[in-house]
Amino acid sequence: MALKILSVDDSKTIRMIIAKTFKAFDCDVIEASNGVEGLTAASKYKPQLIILDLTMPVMDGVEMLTKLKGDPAMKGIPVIMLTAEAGKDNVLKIAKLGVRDYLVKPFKEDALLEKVSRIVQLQPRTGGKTAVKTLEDPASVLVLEDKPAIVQQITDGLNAMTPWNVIGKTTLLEAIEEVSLGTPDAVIVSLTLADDAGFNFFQELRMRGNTRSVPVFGMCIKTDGDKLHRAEQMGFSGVVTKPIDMDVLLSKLVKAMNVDTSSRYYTLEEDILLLSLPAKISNQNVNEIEHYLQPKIDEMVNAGVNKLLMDLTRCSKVDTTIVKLILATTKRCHDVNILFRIAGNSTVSGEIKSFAEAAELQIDPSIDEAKAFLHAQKSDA
Amino acid sequence: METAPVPQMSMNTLLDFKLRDFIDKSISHLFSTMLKMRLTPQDPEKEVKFDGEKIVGTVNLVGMIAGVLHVYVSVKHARLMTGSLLGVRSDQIRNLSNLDDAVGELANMLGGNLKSKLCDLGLACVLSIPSVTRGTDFQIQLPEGMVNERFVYTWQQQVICLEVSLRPTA
Repeated sequence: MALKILSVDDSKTIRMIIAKTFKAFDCDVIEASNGVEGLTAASKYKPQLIILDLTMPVMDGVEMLTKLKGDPAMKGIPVIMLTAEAGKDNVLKIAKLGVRDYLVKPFKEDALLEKVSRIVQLQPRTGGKTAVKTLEDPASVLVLEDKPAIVQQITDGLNAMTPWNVIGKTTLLEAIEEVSLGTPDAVIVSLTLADDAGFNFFQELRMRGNTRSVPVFGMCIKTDGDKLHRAEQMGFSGVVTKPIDMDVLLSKLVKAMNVDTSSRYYTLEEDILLLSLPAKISNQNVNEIEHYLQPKIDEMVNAGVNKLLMDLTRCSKVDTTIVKLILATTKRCHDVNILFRIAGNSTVSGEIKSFAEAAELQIDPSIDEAKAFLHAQKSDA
Repeated sequence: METAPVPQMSMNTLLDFKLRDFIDKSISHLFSTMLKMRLTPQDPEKEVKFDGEKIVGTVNLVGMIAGVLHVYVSVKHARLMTGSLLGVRSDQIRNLSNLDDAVGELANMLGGNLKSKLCDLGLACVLSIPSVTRGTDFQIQLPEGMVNERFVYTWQQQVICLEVSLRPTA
């Protein structure tokens, strides 16, 4: 059953802030605008907690509290007093009335939650937004940029690779308003906006409780060293240089957002773990693949899967980094008795074999042939 | 009409009170805590013009001190502030009474903090319920006080103006 909290305040704004504070929790917030309404609501709904303003018309908080404590049916309801008056005399007067705690306005929602949590147990409301875990999960990226073409490029580029929602804003006020409504998973700001709006927005984000830890990337042209340096000094999570390389941007975003990107490379097809390398492979791609390699092998072993196929058929060029990755994968598979096979076209195959350490590797010309080989091994076994 | 003499102690306490420092600190805390806005203090003599309608939130102090505190903002800024307070988009705030309530509450919080400080200094007083005035063409005359101070702040080109008048009573 939902927790009932009675909010008694003559300010509709404060009542709405309190209702918003408990929105994420399994609570029903009942509202009253003065002491008389508050007593009626307390008697009717029997709340588990009352958050009570001090100064109100009709009947103030002190009078309501006195009447509440004089009623045997309601005197046990804990009360948190909310007051803009933090003077010593006032605090003493409130304490004598038997309140459980008090909170001075202005207050942070976190502070209210902390005080309430000491008195009642707050349970998260089910069905809320879940944290981003994989590349398939929804996420939002806020872009503050006054050039629509750049926003469009980022939107198209990210939408081609992820289901993420890209929100473009052209002015500082619009962007601030956007983060007041919700917390984006990452922010990209142009560093070349008028009046230093990009840097000002960064400071705003770092001031706000909900966006303090959101990754923020500055964006400008490669040659604008002053702005890049300033962003670094201020503590931006990173920078994105124009012209934007979408693969690089995505790599930076997923790393900062702590997104599991393994599905970009690893897929389980029946009883074979397929490791697919992209056509154009960067050092960042190789780092990501290596990062997930051991956990994926551990998962395979635990799931009883014993075949790994590395697909190089889309690759057009092989360098030392890729050969090192192949050798590392070969060794790790060998260590835990996993069957390992590589598929790649003749050019790739030739390039791999040109490295002495990889000369003995067997490379199939297509994925189907590699799969057939692995399945045949199963039959032999 | 003769008025009762003002106790010297109250006068001295009030004259020693660093109102400007207190208000600067109080309003900065209020705006950063509840509105997530970092205010920049401006020259208090700066001429302030509001585009379109303005909203004034007012609270009065009565007791050993008589005083008034006015908070002036434009409707546009009040809309942004209310949106930030309530976690909604400013253009979704259809009812102007929500803006009035938010500005009134800001005046109440600032007035409440000031009242507490004055009480702690031994100048016992009580705070009125806030009132709000909205319109284009009006001026509020500040009563003659022993301490009359004006404060101007900006947040992203939006202006917030405060006026405070305090005087000890018999």
